[in-house]
Amino acid sequence: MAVTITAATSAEVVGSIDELLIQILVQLPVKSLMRFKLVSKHWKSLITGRQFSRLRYTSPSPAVGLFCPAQKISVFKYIHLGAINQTKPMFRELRFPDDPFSFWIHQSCNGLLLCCSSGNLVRTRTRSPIRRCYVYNPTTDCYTKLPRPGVLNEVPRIVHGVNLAFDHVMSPSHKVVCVRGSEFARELYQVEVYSSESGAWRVSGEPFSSNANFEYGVYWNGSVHWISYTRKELLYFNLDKERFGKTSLPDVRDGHGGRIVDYFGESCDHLHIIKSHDYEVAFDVYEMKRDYSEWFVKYRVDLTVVAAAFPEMAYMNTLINRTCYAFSVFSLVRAGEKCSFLVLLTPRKVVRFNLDSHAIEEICDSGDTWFECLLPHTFEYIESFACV
Amino acid sequence: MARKNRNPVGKNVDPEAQKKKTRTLTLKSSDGQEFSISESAAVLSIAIENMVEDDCAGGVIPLPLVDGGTLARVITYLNKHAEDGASDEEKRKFDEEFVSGMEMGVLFDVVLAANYLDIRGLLREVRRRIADRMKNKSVEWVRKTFHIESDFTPEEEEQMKKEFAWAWEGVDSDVDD
Repeated sequence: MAVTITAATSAEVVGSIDELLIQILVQLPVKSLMRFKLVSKHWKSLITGRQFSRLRYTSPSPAVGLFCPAQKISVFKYIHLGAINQTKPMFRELRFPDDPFSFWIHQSCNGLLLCCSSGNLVRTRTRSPIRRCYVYNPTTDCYTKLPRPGVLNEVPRIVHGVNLAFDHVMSPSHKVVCVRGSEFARELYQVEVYSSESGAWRVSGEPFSSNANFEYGVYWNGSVHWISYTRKELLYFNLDKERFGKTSLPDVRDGHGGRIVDYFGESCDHLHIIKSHDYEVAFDVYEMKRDYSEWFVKYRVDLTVVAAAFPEMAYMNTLINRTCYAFSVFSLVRAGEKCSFLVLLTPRKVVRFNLDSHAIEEICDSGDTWFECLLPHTFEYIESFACV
Repeated sequence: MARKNRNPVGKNVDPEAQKKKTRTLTLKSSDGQEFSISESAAVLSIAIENMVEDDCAGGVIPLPLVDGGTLARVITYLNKHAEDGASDEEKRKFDEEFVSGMEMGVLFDVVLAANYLDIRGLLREVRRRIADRMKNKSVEWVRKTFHIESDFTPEEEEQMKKEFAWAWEGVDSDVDD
């Protein structure tokens, strides 16, 4: 074969300097990157490498979509919140090729999903018992199976909760916190931590007692946070220090009692909690200070405009003889200055409510949207190139 | 306030900065063209600044990896960014216009020069522009442009295309630009 030797073009030279090429690639949208993985094995290794995610995400990213549970436990309805040309995840039903079981999304954390299964136990709506766990990146469609949580000397213990701790701005690796029953006493708990670097579970600290519900935790500020409803406390476990801390829940002035936590979550490095009641159309969004000194009111929300635009929200509750409002906070997205919004489920529509301008926008019909009354109601979809 | 050499009023100006503004350097491209540039503009390139500091310049700085056409462009950029009265807004507008007219081949020439000469602002601007021009391109266009041969088997390619079918929507046709 004849070989013509010509001077390399600039493009070829650029392509041969990995450091320069990667700096160009990190600026591309996810869609282009998924396509360019096919250019060559080398390009694929650059795009899926550990360095890539760190270079691409230098600040926290807001959710671009929500996975809403459906009637079948492993099926999800995807609601797109971002720009039209942004990535849409590809699964509707959560399945892992080597696993015959049904999985549910247990938690969404900065782009990664923690997916769990009860194995061959047939479960319809409860998110327990947890026997198998995968960490899944829905953007790149990559996953890792974790060793079974809560197993001590080959004996499985009760798993009270598993929670993902991942923040690509801080570290490319992730950890999972498992709270399981202690081998010493029924009422005691024990923390175990899995790290993606070691690929194994490790016991952390001493057995302890608690009233918190460890089923649903929120990762923020280097810690996983749980609500203890009976004690009205926020309990958190710091992953660096491997120590617990606690603080109070916001003190909502409430003449009527019976407010429920409708939203507890994190967006772009802010931890929020919303307590609402269906006979009130206004509520406050509380945000926690980074030093845990207090919950402050970040937004005072009045949904009167939403109730006017969607009159089917209001109904007469004859038991208490007053007007009530049917809605639920699906998510809160801190998408940046003047564009942070709530996603609300109303009887007919899923609606976006801008927290600064109070503008309302329909997102989709709520007809086939299943309402999960447990927290979280939905799971955020955040674009990520994190390796799992 | 008036400690830096960017002070347009000209009071209390650092004498060293003043000297840099009047002193000129000669940059010599790979094809032998020579360009005069004020030292204050030239040292926006960290690589040139290091050469000047090491005093290996000796009047003429040879840049064997940058051709004349590209060097002329880079100098236009450096002069604008060293200009005394230019506001940040003006510079931003200049940057935008500077890269918007460039053909793809020129963008690659300039990104290499900016990388070699370590001109951070220019590098950032050109990288962003290249990414913007590449984003809707096909895999074939990328392979052709970067002279890359696929090392995937047809089966592997088919499998990946199937997995990420959505990534193939809205791709531009392969017209050269």
